[in-house]
Amino acid sequence: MYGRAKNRRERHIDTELLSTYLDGQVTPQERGQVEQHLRACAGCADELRTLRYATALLASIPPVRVPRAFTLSEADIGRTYTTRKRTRRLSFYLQGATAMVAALLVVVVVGDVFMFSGSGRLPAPTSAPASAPATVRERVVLETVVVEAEKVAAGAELMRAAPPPEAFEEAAAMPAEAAALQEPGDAVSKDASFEGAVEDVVAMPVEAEIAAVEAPEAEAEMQALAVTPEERVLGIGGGGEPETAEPLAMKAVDTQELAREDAVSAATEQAQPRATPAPQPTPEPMAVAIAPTVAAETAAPQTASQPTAEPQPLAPETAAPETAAPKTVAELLARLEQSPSFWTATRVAEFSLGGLFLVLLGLALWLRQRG
Amino acid sequence: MDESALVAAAQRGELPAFNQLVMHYQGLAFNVAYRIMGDPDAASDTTQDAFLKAYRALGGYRGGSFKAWLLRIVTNTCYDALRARKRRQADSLDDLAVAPEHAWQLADGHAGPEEQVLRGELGQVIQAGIAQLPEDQRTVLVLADVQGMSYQEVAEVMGCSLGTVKSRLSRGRAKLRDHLLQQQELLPSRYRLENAGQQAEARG
Repeated sequence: MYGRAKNRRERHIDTELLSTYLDGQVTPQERGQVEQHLRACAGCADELRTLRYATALLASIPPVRVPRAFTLSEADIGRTYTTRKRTRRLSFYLQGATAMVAALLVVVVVGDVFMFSGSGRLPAPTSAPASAPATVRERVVLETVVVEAEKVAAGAELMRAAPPPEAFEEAAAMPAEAAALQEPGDAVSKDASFEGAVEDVVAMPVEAEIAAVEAPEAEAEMQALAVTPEERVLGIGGGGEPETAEPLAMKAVDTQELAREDAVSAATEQAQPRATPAPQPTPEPMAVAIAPTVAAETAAPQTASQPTAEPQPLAPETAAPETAAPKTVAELLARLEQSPSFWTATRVAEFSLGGLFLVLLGLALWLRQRG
Repeated sequence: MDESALVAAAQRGELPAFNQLVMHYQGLAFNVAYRIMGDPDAASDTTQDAFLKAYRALGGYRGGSFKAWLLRIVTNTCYDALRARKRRQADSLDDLAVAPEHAWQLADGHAGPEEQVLRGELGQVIQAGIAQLPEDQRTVLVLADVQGMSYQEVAEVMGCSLGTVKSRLSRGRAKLRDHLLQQQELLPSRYRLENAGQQAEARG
């Protein structure tokens, strides 16, 4: 009675218990239950028999012979060791480079932000009045120029030293003698240091051009100033021959007007706050010396076409190498006018550093993942 | 030199010591890999990979059963290889078919030629059954029933509990048993179960 009731309660033994029983991995209590059930249940007994058959077959399959020795050679270990070492070293350097670029980027960005916040203004929108953005933009351009060390700085200094264009305009309208009379002492000093100035002129074109490329406003100023010094040179040179000097002076006026047009178009948005009216004690002959070359650049068709009329060897010498100048200068002006002040050297540095940082970071992460 | 001394020497970078361990365990490692992979070439590659991995990972070995630690690397390497094989879509019928176990492959040198052929046939049928099992059941079955390892050792290799080992093993055994009952005619007569036909029918 008891046994039958127990059987009914137990139902069948599950496969897991049978499997464990087969391995002898059951408690004595479980063993008792299983064995008692098996005596009364043919189905469970058969289940156990087939399971035992399967495990017996599994245990009977012979081991497979090892096809070869799996021992490692020094080469296996050495290669993997050196490769990993090299990868680790490369990864280290790459991480260092990434950190340095990141630091540099931060410095540049912070510097940029600081400069703008220092001026109290953000880069002016293009729709803003021309006079307002002039100073800001000038600042930006100045920043770019700062990098260009002494040459450009010296050029800008000279530009600033020159008297305002209005004065020159007046001077240009007058005959050569009048111009000489206006600044008598100057003329003497010019005469005295003229030979030195010629040497300077030969050296200046390159510098002037660099300044022109780097600083648009400097270019504009140069153009504004360009003609008048030339006129002066002509005036000085033509002192002995007033007849020839006068038409030349007139021509210079034409040239000046032409150049002024250019300058005005270039500088409409760039007022010239830096063109301080008070001339500094910078040697005037220097400014005079720069001028002819720039004049030649802007007004080459006129000056270059009749260099023989010039009494001095100065004009032909400087004008001749610059015959191709108008085109390049015009292009340059166009480019400078088109390009807004967004792409300053700082911006370029920021973006290139940012790109470099991303590339390095990606490489470093990839190597780290591999190593 | 006992195993722990060899392991310690290997951990110091002494390759000869490690190679002594390789010589001792390569039969077991290769057979486990062979039963899991079902193909001698793949098993060979996997075993070599596993020993290389083991050498590199020696620093992470913190005592316990070295055999279990090594077999864990072997089985994991097998899983990786199986997954890679699946990814390559190379699971064609050719790959699923069990490579015939030739007489020369069997390590039992005492068995006669006829006996070796019969065992080869048996091994082929069993291998086909093992190949049908899910990975975890397959590994437990190979370690416990083919290699004769204890539940405790299997649990160590697989990093699971004894209960998990028991349940996986019982399910794996039941499936393999069904496979063997269905494939009776392919087995040499001596390996057949009496009334096996009825058993197979009774189980549907």
